[in-house]
Amino acid sequence: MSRPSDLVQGTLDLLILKILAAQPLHGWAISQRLTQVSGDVLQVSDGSLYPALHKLEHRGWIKAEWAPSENNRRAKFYALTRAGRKHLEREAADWTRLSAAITLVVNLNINEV
Amino acid sequence: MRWLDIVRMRIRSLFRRRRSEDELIEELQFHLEHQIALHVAKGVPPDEARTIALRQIGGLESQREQCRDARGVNVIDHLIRDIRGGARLLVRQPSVSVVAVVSLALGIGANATIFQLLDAVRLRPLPVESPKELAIVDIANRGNPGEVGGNYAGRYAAFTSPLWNGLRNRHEPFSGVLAWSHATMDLSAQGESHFVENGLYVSGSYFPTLGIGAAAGRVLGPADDAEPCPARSVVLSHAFWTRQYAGAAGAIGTTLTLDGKPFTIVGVAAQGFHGVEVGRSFDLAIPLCAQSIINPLGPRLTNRSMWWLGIMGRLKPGWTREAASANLAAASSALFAATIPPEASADQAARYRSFTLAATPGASGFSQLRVRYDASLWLLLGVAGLVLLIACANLANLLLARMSAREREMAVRLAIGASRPRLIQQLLIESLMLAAAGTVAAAVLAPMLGRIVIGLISSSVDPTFIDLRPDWRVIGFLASLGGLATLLFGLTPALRAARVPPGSVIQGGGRGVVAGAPVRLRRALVVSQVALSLVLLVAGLLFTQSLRNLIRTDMGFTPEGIVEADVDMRALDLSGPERSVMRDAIVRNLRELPDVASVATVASVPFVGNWWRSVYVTGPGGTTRAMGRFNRVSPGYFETVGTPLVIGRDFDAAIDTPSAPRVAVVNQTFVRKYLEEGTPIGAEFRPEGARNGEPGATPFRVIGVVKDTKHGSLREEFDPIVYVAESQLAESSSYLNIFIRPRTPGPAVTDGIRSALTRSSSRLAFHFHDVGEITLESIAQDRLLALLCGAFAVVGAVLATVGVYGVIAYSVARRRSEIGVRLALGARRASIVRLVISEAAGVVGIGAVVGMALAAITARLAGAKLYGLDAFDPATLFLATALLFTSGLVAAYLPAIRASRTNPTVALRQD
Repeated sequence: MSRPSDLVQGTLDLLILKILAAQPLHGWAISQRLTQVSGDVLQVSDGSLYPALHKLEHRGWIKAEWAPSENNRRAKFYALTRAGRKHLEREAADWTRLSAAITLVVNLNINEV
Repeated sequence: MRWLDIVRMRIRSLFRRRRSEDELIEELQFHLEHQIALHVAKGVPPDEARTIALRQIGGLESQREQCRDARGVNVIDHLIRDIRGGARLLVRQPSVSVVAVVSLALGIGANATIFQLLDAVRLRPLPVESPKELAIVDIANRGNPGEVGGNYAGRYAAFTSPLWNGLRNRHEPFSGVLAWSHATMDLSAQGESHFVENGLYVSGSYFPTLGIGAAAGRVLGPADDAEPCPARSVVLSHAFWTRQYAGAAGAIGTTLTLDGKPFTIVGVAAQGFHGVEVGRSFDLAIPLCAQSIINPLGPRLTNRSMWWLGIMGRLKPGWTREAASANLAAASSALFAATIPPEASADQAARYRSFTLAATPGASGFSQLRVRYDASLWLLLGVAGLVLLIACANLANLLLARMSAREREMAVRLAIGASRPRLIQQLLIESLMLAAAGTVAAAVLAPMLGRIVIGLISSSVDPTFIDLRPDWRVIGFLASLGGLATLLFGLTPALRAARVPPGSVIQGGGRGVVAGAPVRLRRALVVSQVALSLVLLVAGLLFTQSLRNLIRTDMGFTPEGIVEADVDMRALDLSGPERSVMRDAIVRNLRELPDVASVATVASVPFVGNWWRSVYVTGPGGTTRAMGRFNRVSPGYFETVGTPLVIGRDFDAAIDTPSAPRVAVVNQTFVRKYLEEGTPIGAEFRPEGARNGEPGATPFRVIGVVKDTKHGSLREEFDPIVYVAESQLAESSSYLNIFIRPRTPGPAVTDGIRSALTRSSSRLAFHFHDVGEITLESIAQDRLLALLCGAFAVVGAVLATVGVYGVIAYSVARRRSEIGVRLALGARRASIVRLVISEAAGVVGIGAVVGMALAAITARLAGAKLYGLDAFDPATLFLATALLFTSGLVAAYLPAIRASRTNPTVALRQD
């Protein structure tokens, strides 16, 4: 896990959606929260965050709105849409199933077979 | 709604591209500032902090690029870009665009012209309330009018007044029934007549049943059509009111004269209503019962053998036309049994009793045009379709040629990642734009051409009114034709171009590598063009020759120049013998005119009148019954119309008096068919008597034989004709048809005739016809077919010639180096010309063979419309082929000459 760019395709999308599920945030706050919640393990480069946000918006899973930020600057806030929430539930469930299965396989003692 | 959000967002991103770019920059700027602040807080110098932050985000410009890409490909965006690109291309190559748009406008315009006529006479419903509920009542098993006898007046003489009275009182399937007839009415009180060609007799139920209200005043109602006929009321059409009264409200309540009888204008029918007949408009309508006022001498209202009415009903809710037919059929026998014409023979009465009523579709009204022109219009639509096919083949060729010039562009675009569907979409949109421009031009062209066509089939004697306002059917037809044309000419080039291998052209150094395949394709396209235009040429030539045959046909008399004066003596109120005196005086006055060569009266005008009677001829084998055309003429008729007397003598007013033995002049066909060998002079026959099916008491003796003449139409075989003497009629009719042969035709003659008639009596009503024009009008349909097919054939042949030129010129350009080698190796220039010409001859030859086969198959469709030649006419086929070959070779000559002047050194250096 030393190379965050090797993140499974779509993982970044899932993380963004999950973070936005709690509250609407602007891009900078999302990037801070990403680093904060995943520790140093998942270092998302700033370069991939904004294209991901625009892609999600284009697909209709999040929507954007300009609003004053905490220090009263105009900032673009992203929020989850209804479709985005459904998508997140689906993806999260898939992810849990998949990661559980992978954990199982990884912890398997081959000799026990 | 998710998709709604997406659509909204995409449209927004389309129109606010600039703004969303600005927002993106602002968003990234916001991020950068926070990042820089963070670094600065950690003690990094501001300049350095900015550099780090920028590096972290991966560069502003690349971020913007990535974000734009993340928003995905916008279909609408592409569409607009393609349309813009297409428009640029159209402007950049104006010659291609002009050729394309003009040929499409002609192809689509030809189809639209014919279709709008078909639509107007056949498809369009009447402009009345719920036209789909209307049904025309008719006799299902009518057969030949002669089978029941009687007199017929008008274009839709389907019923007599007694039958109408029966139907009017019992019409279970209908919520209302109406009857109508048309009549020409004289608007002037006296002197030269001013006719309304389109007068209507309508039942009181006419306007209420159709649901037509009044634009001013009121329309006619049941109270206007009663027995005895109440106040004389007339309703004007909106068009007539506008034309004659300038739409003045004051016209309501005033009086106008119809055939010398005063009528009060009670109102104006709703605008846009033109009656229940398609192909005609109406000027004014009077109640049916007014017929006895207009013509007291020929009352029709109780006459069981006067067929003059058309009947229509509006189906009650829940009734289908089939159910209505069954109901009417069940009621038929009682209705017909109660109204048997008194003079019918036993056979005729039995036939009459067997009549069965039926309800036929009535939504699009009555139409004689439909019956007369339906087949011709479908035929012309087919022919126009061929023109469009040729135009499309031409365009496909043109686009293929342009495509090979654009192969490089296509290959480059594919190489840098454009998808093939995108390329096909782009090319199809370019074609669609050409088609759209052509369709719009066609939409403008079609009504103009339509008016020309209506002019061809209309005349002063038989004015045709066709509503050419475009409706959704015509617009839909145009749009689908444009779409179809796009696919026809655009799809193949688009698919071809998208098949270019991306690397090929770049490696090939500018010379098309795949161009070989389209040459075969292009040749095939030209072959089909040649084949189709041969079919067109054959059709055009066939109809032109048919028309020429008709014009040149020997009709047995010379109509050109004869002036027909129709005189109405009713206003003079004369007794029968007095009318005879007046008739003789009028003829004498006319004969005295210096410009007039001869004058005669005639009862049945050729190509207008129709008078058949049975004759009984007694020979050695007993008495036989036969049919003959009858006509009653005055002395001098044969001289006036130019029909030579073969033997015997003309009538003589001094000898053939009412008291003298009955005499007749017959034509050659009558002699050949009915009279014994030997001299016909002195032979006797009897016409039908007062009761149908029995010979009359007085025999006619033949005193002369004239040359055969055509009477019903130019196409007919000669009929047996019997001429009887006007001078033997004790009482003249109130109406006279007078033929006047001037020494030199011109308006001065007509002025002289006018004053001579007025001199005879100031109360005569009269008007004039040109007999030559009447004859021409009887072949209006043939003229239409010949002119339109001829025009279509010319357009088709020009397009095909352009096609041949295009493909040969292209092929020569491709074979430049080969020709260069040939010349370098000592080939003579003439042999190069021969080489190119023979290629063209090959293409035209194959096309001609295919075309001849097609023409042989399709010519049969035209067979029934041809006169004096067969649908399969070898001479015509040969002529059409020769014409095509000539134009094809002329088209190939220019490229051939150019090829022969190729400079070998230049041509070879290019490779």
